[in-house]
Amino acid sequence: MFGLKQDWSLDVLPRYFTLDDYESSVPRWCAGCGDHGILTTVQRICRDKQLLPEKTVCVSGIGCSSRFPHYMSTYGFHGLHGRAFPVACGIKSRRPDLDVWVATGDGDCCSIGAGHWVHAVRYNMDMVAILFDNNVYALTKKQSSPTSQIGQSTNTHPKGAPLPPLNPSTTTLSITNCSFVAQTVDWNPVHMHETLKAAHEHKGFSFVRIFQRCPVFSEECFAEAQTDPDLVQLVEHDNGLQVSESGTRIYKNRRTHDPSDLVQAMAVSNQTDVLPIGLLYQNETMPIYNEYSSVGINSTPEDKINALNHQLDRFAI
Amino acid sequence: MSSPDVIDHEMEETQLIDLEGLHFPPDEGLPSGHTLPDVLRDARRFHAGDPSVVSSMSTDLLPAVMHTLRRPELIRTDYPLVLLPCGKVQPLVEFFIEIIAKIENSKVLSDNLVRVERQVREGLKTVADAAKVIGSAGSKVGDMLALNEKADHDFRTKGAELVQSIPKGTILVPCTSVAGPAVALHIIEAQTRGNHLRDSVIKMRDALKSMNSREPAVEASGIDSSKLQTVLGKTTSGSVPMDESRTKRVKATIKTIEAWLTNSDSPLYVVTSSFADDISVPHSATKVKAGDSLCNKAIETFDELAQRYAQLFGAMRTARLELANAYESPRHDHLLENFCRKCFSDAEFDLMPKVVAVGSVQDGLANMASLSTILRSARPVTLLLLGDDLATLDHERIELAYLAVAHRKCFATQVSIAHPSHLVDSIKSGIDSVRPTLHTIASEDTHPLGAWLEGNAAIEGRACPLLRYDPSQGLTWAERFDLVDNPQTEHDWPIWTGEIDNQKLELSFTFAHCAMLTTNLQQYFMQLPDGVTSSDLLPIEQWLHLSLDESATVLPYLWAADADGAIHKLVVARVVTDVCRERLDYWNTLQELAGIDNSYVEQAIQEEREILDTAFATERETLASKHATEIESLRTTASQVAMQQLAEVLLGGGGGFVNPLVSASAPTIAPVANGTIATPTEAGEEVATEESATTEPEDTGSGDLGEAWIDSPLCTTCNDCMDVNAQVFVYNEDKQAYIKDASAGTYEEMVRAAEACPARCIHPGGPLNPSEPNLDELKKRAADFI
Ligand code: SF4
Ligand code: SF4
Repeated sequence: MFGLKQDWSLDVLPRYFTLDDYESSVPRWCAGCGDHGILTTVQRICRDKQLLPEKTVCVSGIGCSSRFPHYMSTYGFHGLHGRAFPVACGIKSRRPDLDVWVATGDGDCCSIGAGHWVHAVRYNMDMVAILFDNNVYALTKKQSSPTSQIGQSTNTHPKGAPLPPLNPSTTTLSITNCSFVAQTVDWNPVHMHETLKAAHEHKGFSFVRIFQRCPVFSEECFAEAQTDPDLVQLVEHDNGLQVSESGTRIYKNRRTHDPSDLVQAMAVSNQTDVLPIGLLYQNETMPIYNEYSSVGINSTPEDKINALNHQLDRFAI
Repeated sequence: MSSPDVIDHEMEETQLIDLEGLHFPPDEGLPSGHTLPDVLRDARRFHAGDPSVVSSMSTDLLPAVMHTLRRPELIRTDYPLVLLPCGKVQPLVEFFIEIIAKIENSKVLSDNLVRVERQVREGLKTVADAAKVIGSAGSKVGDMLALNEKADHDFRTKGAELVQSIPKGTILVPCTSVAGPAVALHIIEAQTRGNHLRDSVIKMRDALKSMNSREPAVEASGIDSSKLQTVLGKTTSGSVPMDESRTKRVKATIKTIEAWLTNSDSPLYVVTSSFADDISVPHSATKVKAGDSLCNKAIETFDELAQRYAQLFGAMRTARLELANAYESPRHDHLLENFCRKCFSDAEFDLMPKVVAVGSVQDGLANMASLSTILRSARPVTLLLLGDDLATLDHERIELAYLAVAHRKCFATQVSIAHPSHLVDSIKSGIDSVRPTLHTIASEDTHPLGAWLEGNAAIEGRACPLLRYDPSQGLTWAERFDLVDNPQTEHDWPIWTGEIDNQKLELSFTFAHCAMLTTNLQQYFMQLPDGVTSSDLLPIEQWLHLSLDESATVLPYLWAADADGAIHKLVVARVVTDVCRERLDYWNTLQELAGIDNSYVEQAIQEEREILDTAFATERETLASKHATEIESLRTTASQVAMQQLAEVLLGGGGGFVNPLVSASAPTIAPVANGTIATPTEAGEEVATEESATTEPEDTGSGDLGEAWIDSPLCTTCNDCMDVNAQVFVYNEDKQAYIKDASAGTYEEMVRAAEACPARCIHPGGPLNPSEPNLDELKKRAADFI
């Protein structure tokens, strides 16, 4: 109306946040750890979207990746092993106005936290869950995790892990009410940025599995894929992630996949010879539990007493 | 809730609007002691103008579609306008986008320009120097943000860079009544700077002078050119010795030119009425005060100039003819002796100083005769007449621009400061047309919602439709007249479709909507109790389509929103609806002139349709009677055949029954073949969407390997390179590494960092120091990272 353009509103806060405003202490991850890049990417998204630090919460369980909240200058909750999701869901269910980010690892999420993971996916609360998948328990110095590769030598399996790894993405896709699953690699910041940005913009539970390098305890897992881009498969679609060519031109191995196709998403993520990166599945029509759990959060104590009295009056003789 | 403007039918073509924040208030029933007939009776009396029924409209009400625009300071309009010394006019936001693109590493500043823009908008009350205003707004924003030390430093240094890059003399114009004249005078003044008349006059004089001094020399050579001419049979042109009259003419011409060269004419004369005495004019302009006789003074000023320029242009034409040896005394003497403004070509008019008259619409109306004299003459004087009574209830008002169109030869517009792009285009086209030009400029600026909202509401509600008439565009009316930049020109009133409480609503914006924004007109709107519905109430845009008789029994209402977003029905008084009808009539006239819903065309279509309908009806009748005859004849034949066959059967003959209707006439329909749908051709190869964010530097001679660089977007922020040398490698605003100073470290460190980099995005290039040890080996290692 009145010839106004899309960006007509000048309703901006009198505050501005730089990258530094989302940085807390200096990360104590090892040099060359993939976590550094993930942290910076999340901080850049916070800055680009000008998220209010006091309205942003990072929640984690236990593990190297779970130090994440310490390095973000936002609210943070470093939880118990495997318990990142119940804490995050608790926060979101009564404070839907907060931006919730969950940092969890392959051990934290897929082993001890697996029960919570299943239900967090089903609750489909509006948050970003980042799975730092380095195929190993790194904080406790190299034990096999659910995603360790067959033959990967660890302290629990010095002669090599005997079982095929669990696939966190196919598992997530198979859970009722799943609404967003994507994969990316930590050594491609351009792709990782678009993936996490899309996850943040998604309404619902966004599960992002990041193939994360641990040069100290599982270097062999991704070293080859890092030097040979043909071992990475770029998953593309008009409705998928739109990543600039500058970040993806090295990937010749590409696959077109419609992210609304759940069955195909399973097939794409189930590949074992390549690391598929991109948006596997998205469905914004699934119910979001925090929309139900937060009903009435603004009611005053007086409202609540009135409601109680109203109910009790029904039993008055 | 059910109401005639709730859509339950197929929508007509409308535009969508976001009505977020609006809701229907809870239906709390009628005020105690009131029945629906009571409410409607009062509303009827109010509509009719019964003074005993007083309006109960609360003051925070706005037309529902304007609810989101309730806080004008938060609306990004095209204002402030930036007037650049080159004559360009652009919205501040566009100016910022252009200027920031030239400043490197300015993320903190560019992210905050929106705040600077808002600060400028809030602080700017009148025309002011752009660098000063933007500079001080920037420093206020800096203070307000209280950024950390580094970000604050970046913001202020880049801000200073931005201010420095603003061309000297750039000014900012707020959306107030000064905007129209300021923009127009700025554009016209810039155009006069392209006028190099003085240079060409000097050149012409010098050429004439040299011709004057050369001719005697030719005669001194001993050749009798008049004899030579006789031999060659030339009589009217060619090189002839300067006879006395020619010498005299050339000398007189030089004298006229030199006299003109002593003048100190301004390139621009701004004639102002008392109404516009305070306006500021460009430095190079001369202000001429006209008191109450604006148009007369404009004519006088122009004619005075034209008289002097007639002498100059006459002399220039003579000079040109003389220099080309083409002056023919009998033919040209008469022409040039009577040379006056009526003989000027467009190019000559263009070379004259410009005369612009600035006043109010009232000045124009008070001087109608002189105004008309200007508009029908060939004087390319520009008139800027400001009107501020946009939502007036005076339905006898004169539309000055419309009146000017009747003069046919002038350029005329109705523009508004609320639509600056239309204003700027019109001013430019006016100059290009080299005709008498009238711009009536809607410039209300005392409204509490601000000039921009009020002006746009006046355009939207057809209170003040924009129009442009430019005879230079062609010979036909369609080429000359346009209504561009009015909203939804195909409709009577703009129609917006949106959703409130999950119900689709069609909301028009009429003159009444515009009028309810004006404080002293709010008495003509009466708020109905929420939830009142009746078949006696009709949305005003539908009500206006009723005949006078039909509308007498129904009441017009419009939807208005309060500050909380609850929408209410307002009954509109007849004094306002009368003006609505008048404005609609004017708008419909303009539409017709612009070829929209043209009554002649519609009449012709109707006539054609009637002719075709009659022809079809006749043909149908003919076919029907032919068909009936054929059926009758077949029926007769069939009964005869049947009788015959029956007789044959009864008499023991063979033969089956044959249906004569089928055998005689059933046509066979060939099956339609399955066509193959052609696959549309591919739209060519995919075009590369984005270039790499980092440009590889050119080889600058540091060996074959080029210069060191980092593909920063690929950096994973691992610190490894900084551990090698924190002077060479630093992070940018995205916390991704770049090479700040390659000379701060050794080539060995550069190569080592490249090898350590997990993202392999460091390209060490060639060595800078040719005397560094082990260069051959290092270069070999570096080659892996080219
Ligand atoms: S041990 Fe591995 S995962 Fe943990 S911080 Fe070090 S590199 Fe990262
Ligand atoms: S070593 Fe590479 S990835 Fe690490 S900070 Fe430096 S440029 Fe970035």
